[in-house]
Amino acid sequence: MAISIIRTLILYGIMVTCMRVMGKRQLGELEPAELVVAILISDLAANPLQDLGTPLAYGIIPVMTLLFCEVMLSFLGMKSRAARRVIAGNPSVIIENGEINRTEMKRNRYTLDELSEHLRKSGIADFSVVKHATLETDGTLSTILFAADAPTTPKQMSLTVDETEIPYVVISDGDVIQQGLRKVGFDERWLAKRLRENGVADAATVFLMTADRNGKTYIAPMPERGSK
Amino acid sequence: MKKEIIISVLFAVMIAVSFVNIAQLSKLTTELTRDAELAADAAQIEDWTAAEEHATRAFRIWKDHSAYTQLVLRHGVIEQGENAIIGLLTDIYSRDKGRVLGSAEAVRRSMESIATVEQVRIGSVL
Repeated sequence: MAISIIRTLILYGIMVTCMRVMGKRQLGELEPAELVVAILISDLAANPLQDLGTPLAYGIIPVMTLLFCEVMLSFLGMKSRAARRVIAGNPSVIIENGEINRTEMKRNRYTLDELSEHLRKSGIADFSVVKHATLETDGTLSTILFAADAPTTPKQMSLTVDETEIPYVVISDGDVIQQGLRKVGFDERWLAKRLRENGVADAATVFLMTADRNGKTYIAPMPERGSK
Repeated sequence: MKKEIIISVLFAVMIAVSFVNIAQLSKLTTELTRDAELAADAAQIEDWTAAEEHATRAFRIWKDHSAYTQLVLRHGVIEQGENAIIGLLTDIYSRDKGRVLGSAEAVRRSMESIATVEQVRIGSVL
């Protein structure tokens, strides 16, 4: 049993490292080559875990080989457009200027039901509002609406709006996060003042507090014991 | 780019290690096969002391490499090789000339299978 635990820990470490090396793309929508790696990698790692008679190397070596292939293919795809086309394929324009391109749909074996489903997922119920729809290489559908149906922007209305700043967590579960405070350019004195202004005496009673560079804050008090 | 270089170096090391492994397995199995054949030859002329020496040597070499074989071979294959060598030793101790020939052949086959499974050949790959 101890051997099982040690082997699992070793393989877990290697798999997590491999997924980190492969990058964030691997964790989201998968392109064909990435999907192959994702399917194979779990199976390869499971084999030596289930069978103690199989050397760990029989799991590690194929995983490392796949890692090499994945990193090299990504590198090749980054360096060459032709290689990228071969590895990941091309995006297909399914709706062009409001017209459904049946040839592209057939070529991708993409049905009208799937198109409707993807549009609904994008919050679009009416086909007529879509100017362009592109089936991306990872299988997702990107849409561009006709200008008349697109949401109005402040620029179109000649309005001036403040730029949105990224809010950082400055108190988490009662603990002051110094790194967050530094990122927004404030210090603990500012934090104490802000807490007082919001009727909070102690940071320890705050469950979550975020702040942005403009000084805009959000404070969620610590939930009382027994409450969800 | 740094990541790609590290992975490439790691992959190159892995390939190099796999070729070293092939050579190492080939050396080990050749040595064990030779000892089994020498033991069988000695048994045929009823030189049981020499036969015992060769078979014991083979068993000792096999045992000395156990850490290495456990790293690179499936446990079933290791067990099969060990059983073949122990079979040879048992037949030598029982002074049975005919059976020694058979068990020496079993050792040879077992070692051949270990050596070829790692060698890069179309048969092994497919």
